[in-house]
Amino acid sequence: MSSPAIAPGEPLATTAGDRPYALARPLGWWGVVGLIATEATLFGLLLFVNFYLRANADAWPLGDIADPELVKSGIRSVILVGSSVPVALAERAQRRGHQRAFRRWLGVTLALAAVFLAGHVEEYVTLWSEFRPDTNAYGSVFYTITGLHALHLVVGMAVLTYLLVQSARGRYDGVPEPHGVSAGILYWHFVDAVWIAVYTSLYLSVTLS
Amino acid sequence: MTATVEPVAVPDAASPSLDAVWEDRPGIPGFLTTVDHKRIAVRYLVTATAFLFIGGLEAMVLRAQLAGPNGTVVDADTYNRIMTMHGTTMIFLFNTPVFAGFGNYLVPLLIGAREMAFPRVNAFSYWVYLGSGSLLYSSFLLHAVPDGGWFAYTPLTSSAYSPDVGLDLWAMGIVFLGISTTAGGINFIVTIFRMRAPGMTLSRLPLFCWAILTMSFMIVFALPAITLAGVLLELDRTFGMQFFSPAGGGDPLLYQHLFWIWGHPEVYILFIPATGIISMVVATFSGRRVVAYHLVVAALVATGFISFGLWMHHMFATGVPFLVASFFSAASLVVAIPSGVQIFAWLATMLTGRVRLEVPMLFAIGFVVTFVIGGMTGVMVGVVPFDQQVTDSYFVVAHFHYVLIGGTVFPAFAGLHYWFPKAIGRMPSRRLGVWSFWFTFVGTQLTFFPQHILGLEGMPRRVWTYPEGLGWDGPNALSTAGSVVLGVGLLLSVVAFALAWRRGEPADADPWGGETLEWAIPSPPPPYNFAGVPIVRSDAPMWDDDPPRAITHLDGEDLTVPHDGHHRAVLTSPLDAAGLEAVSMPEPSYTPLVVAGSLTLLCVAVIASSWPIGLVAVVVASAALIRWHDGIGS
Repeated sequence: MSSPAIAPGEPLATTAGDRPYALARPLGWWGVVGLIATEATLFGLLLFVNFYLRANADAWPLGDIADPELVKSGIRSVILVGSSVPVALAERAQRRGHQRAFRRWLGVTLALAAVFLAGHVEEYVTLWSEFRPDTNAYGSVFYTITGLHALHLVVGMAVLTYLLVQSARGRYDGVPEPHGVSAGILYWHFVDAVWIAVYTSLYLSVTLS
Repeated sequence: MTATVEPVAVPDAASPSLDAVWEDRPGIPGFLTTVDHKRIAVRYLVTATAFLFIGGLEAMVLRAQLAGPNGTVVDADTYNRIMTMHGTTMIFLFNTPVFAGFGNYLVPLLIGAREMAFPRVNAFSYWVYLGSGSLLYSSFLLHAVPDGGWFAYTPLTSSAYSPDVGLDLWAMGIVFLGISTTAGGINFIVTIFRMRAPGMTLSRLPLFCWAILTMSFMIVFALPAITLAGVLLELDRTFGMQFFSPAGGGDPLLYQHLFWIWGHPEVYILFIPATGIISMVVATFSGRRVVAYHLVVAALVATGFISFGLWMHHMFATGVPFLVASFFSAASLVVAIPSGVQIFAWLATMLTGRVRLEVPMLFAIGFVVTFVIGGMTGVMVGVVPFDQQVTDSYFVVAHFHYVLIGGTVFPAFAGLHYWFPKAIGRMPSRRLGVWSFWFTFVGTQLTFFPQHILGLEGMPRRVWTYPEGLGWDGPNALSTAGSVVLGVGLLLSVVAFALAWRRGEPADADPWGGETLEWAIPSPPPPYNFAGVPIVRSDAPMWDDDPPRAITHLDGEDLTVPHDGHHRAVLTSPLDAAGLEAVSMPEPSYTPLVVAGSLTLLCVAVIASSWPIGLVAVVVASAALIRWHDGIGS
């Protein structure tokens, strides 16, 4: 009974081996693309809130609050955005089956993220005596947006740590495409990219205008 | 890749040995761990219908109070609370989830798949829905029912004017429910793009799936706005932030923007899946494919896009600049065009087909009539000068109830009557269904038509009572009487389902002569849906000249027998559904329930400002997430 009576042009000719790489992405990767789309919208709306309130204000920052400082925060930003490079190298090492290099590059990424986060905390400590989230709408906007980004960063660090531990436990040995690796690394790029938008809107465009 | 195609009808390939792998454990453990999209869908539908009746009861209280002048059924404060819960329940806990239920049940069946792309996320979405519904309704136990209206505008809902915990429960409940809806939307998108049966190119995708796909994309981009509105409201209320407080440089109108940037797409997030149901029902009971498939798809997608440019028409009376109002007014009129395209496509399908007036078709026709009336008043209120006359009057109440009941309740009941035999394997009584339809239809018109007149005569919405002598007594009495008829009508359908569930006539695989793949498998479907992977050659595979065939062997694997005890499913490429690949899917697990439960606890912790409870919730959720992920086969 097994005669493949498929008319010409039926889609059974493609073979699993020569799919384009994008199609070979696991389902979880596609799910994270969806998550990023909705989260990017969330950050976009938060920046809309920022610009809406700023447009209605006579001066921004409101009250006696000083303009954001640019040097230290600029260095921090370069470090965070730069961490997309080692994480990309980690993904490449993973695809080539080099588990040790995978862990090393993840370690570098996590170290850069920790430096960024430490700078973040230092900034909060300094600013806290000057203004707080309930001081005025500027304070609410500043702490909410930077705080939400920091929360995403912490989640991203937890994900990368999880991947590192899994690799160290040998769970990825000989697995061509371990579940969750490409998805977790994509999420990291997103956390970096969002910071570019946040830094431009909340720091650069305020101090430089 | 090599594949073997058996020239057999799909149902004949049913294999008892697959049951052993796919069937849930019996009893409570199976109930709590299941990832079967059909079981989860039935849960969604039952829970949403329960909320429909709870919200309906609340509406009856409101109508009883307004039946005559100087009503004394409830006082003003209770009225406000019940009104808030009625709106919140209907939009958030009935309307959105009921279509998640239909989508869950039908999308995998219609595309010839065995599962959703993320089965555990699917289970998680349902538990979160249940958790947020419970959170909202726990306000009754705490004697702090929210009273800010379903839209919760500031400053009325700021902590100064709404000090009790009710609004915190509202805000957190809505934010939390957004997680469920968004996860569901992403799940539908990935399922439809990666799990369609081979041959089901996008231009052969059933219209219902197109509708769910459009809805899902809208969810992904619209839901963050309501999430943000809820979060910022809660930050203002709990931490004294100043987003919406003019004294601190905030702006109450900003809340309205955020609310309606979600709120207007939301209207179409509710309506678009309903049109998907109507397309399936109209095709089956007209005995022909829906006319102008490509135009209907284009109309769906166009509606999705345009709906993001309408939100300020809810704010014409707030003093937005004239030019802005004009733009949004024009967009509000334009959106009627794609809806009109769909309506005319269905009418043409009926006119050129042989219509069978079965119960689902009656509800579909009731939908067309009711929705068109609501659509026409929609065009009227889309025009700025007209809107400024009737805004905040009962005319608007009449308009959106025509759109929502006509546009979503009628299609939902059409869908319930249409797919009940498939899901349960028994036929609901036609007699009861016909009675249900006529009561529902007449009740809807009686309840809401008089409200147009009330609005034009100046009765404002949201009032808890009115004095006599204003000429409002007659239409109000009629409206209250109609609401009883409407309630009886919907109840009759539920009675029909309950009776059929217990002792209805058995339904065969294809009782209505449907066009899509769900009718190829037994009623109710086996837990794995399809033993072989169906091959699709048209947009109405059941109406092809030769019966559907199935792929039974792929790359040396016999798909019709268990494979290492795993749930195996087949992935295909996103656009042309080619390049088959068999993968193992996640299996039943407690972790979705545990994560959803600990997130509910986190919401409670935020409301109670309790750090220890919050910490426990985060730790438990993280541990469960790791276990969830570890348990997925590579």
